[in-house]
Amino acid sequence: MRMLRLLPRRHAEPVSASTPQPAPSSPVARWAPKRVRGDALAALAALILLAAPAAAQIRVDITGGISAPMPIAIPAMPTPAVANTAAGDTAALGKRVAEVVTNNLKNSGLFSPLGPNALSPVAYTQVTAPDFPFWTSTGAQALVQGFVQANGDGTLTVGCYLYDVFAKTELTRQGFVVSPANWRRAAHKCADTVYTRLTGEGPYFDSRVVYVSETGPKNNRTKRLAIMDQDGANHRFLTNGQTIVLTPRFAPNQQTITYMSFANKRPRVYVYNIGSGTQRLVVDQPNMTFAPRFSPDGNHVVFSMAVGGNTDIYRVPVGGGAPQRLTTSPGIDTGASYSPDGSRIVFESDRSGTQQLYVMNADGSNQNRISFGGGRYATPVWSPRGDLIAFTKIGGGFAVGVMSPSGGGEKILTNGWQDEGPSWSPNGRVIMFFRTAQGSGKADLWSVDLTGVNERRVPTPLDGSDPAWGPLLP
Amino acid sequence: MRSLPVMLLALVLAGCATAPEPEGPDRRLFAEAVASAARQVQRCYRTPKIPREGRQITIVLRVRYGIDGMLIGLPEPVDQRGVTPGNQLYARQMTEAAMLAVIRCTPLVLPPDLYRGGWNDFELTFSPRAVA
Repeated sequence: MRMLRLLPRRHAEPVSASTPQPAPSSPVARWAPKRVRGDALAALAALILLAAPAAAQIRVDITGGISAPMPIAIPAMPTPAVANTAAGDTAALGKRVAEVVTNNLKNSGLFSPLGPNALSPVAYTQVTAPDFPFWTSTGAQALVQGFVQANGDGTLTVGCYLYDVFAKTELTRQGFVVSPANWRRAAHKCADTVYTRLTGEGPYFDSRVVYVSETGPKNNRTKRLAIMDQDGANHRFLTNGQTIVLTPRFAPNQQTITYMSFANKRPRVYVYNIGSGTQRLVVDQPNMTFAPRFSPDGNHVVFSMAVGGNTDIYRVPVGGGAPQRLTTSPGIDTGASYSPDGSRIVFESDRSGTQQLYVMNADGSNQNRISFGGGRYATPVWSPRGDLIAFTKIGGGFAVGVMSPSGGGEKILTNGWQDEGPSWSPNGRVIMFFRTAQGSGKADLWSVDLTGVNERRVPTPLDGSDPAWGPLLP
Repeated sequence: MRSLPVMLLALVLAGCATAPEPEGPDRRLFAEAVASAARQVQRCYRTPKIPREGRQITIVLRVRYGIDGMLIGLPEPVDQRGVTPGNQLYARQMTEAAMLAVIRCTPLVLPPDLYRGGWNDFELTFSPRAVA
C-alpha cells in the first residue's frame, strides 16, 4: 500500500477533477468559534469595557462533564467516475469503505457514528467542501468524508478527510493507493487517521490477529492456527488441525509466527513462515519447549524448556543456535515477554510457592517480583508502549488486568467466568483475550480497552483462544 | 487581524489594577454569575473517553466575553496541572475538550450588570476527575 499526501488547494483554483483538495486549514483557526463576531463587535465590547471600572478575573471551576463517545458522521464515499474493479465497482466500494471506517470507530468505544438514516449522500465535489450547516444539524461533532477512485494502473485511490463540524475546518487528510483486493486496508488506514487525530493515541485498526481456532468436543478439540484482520475480516486457516498448536506469537516483521506444536507427539517450539507456509523447529532438543515469544528486534526467540522436572526461560537466535539459559531457580519459570525496548523481560514463576510475576534484565540478571496482590498471576505481556503489563489474575476466577512494570497500579479490566491470555493492540490501548464459558468450555475472543468499559466479542467462524495481536501493518 | 480598538483594549486591561471584590448585593450577583457560568459550561463539556490517569489533568483557560455573551477572541490555555510522564499524552485532548466546551456554550448568558461592572475576564478551570 502506498500513502498519498493530499495537498491543500489554493483558494483561486477550482476543485480538481481528479483529487478533491480542501481549503487549507490552520491549527489555530481550527478552534475558531462559529459565533465569534468580527472586529466591529470586538470594538463595541472594547468601548463598553473601557467605560467600565477596572477589570478583574472571574474564576470558575468546572468539575464535572459528560463522558460520552463523540458523535461522528461517516457518509458513503463518492467516486468521480464509476468504474469496475476486481473488488466491485467504485461506487459500491465507497459505501463499504465508509462501513468499515464506521465499524472500526464504533468498536473503539470512543465514537458514536451516526446511523444511516441520519446521513446524507455526499457528491464528489462536496468531499472538500462539506455541507457544514447540515452536519451541524445532525449533532455530529466530527465528519469523515472521502472518495474512491479507480486508477489507470488497476489500483484504487482512497481519499480520507476529517473535519471539525463545530469549527468548520479540516483537521487532517490522507490518501491511500491500494490494489482492489486491499480496499479494506485503505479503510482501516482511514479509520486510523481519524482515531489518531481525534484521540491523540497511536493507530491500531490496520493490524492482524493470529489465534488458535477450535472446534469439536471438549475432550477432543481440533486446534488450528488462524489469522485475520483485527475486526475478524479476511479470516484464513494456517494449519490443518492434524496436530494441536498453542500460543502463537507474531514476529515484528509479521511474516513469521512462533508457536508451540505437538507435532510428532512432542511439544516443541516452531517458527512458521506465512508467505511460504513452511514451519521449522526453533530448538532441536529432546526436552519439551513452549511459551515462545520474539524479541522486539525479531532476532531472538525467548521460550521455556523443561529439563528434569525444572522449567526455565531460555533464548535462542531466531535462525537457530545454542539456547542461552536466563533463569535458574527451582520451579516453573515461563510466559516470558520482552519490554518494547528489549532491555527487560517479564515472566511468571512459582518460585515463591504460587504463580507470581517477575521482571528481569534481558540477560537474566536482576530478577524481582512485581505482583503482590492476592491470588496468582500468569501470562504477563508487556505493553508495546512500555507503560503497563497485562496479565491473567487467578483467584476465584480468571480475569485480565494490568499493572505498571514496577508492580503498582493494578487494575482488573474484565469480569468473565474465565478470561485469560491477554495480547496488546499495536497502540497499547486495547487488549484482546479469550473467554471460556462456564459449563460448555467453549472459548471466544474478546477485546477490552484500558478503561475496562468497552468490552466486545471479536467475531470468529469457530471457537477461538490464545489471540496474539500483531504490529501495525506497514 | 485584530482591530486597533481591540489591541488598545488589551493594553488598557493589562495596565488595570485588579478591581476589589464586590460587596453586598454585588457579591451575591457575583456568586450567582460564577455558579451560572459553571453550570452552562459544564453542560457543554464532554470529557474525552481516556483512561483515568488522563482525567487527572486540570486545564485552565482564560476566556473573555462581550456583553452579549459572545467570545472575545479564542479561549487561551494558561495552565495544565497534574501532567505526569504517564498521562502527558492526554494533555492535548484535555485542552481541546475544554476549549470545545467554551466554544459550544457561546453565548454565555450572564447578568448584563456583571459586564457593566467590568467582570468580563474569566479563568475557567476544568477538573474532570469526578467524571466516570
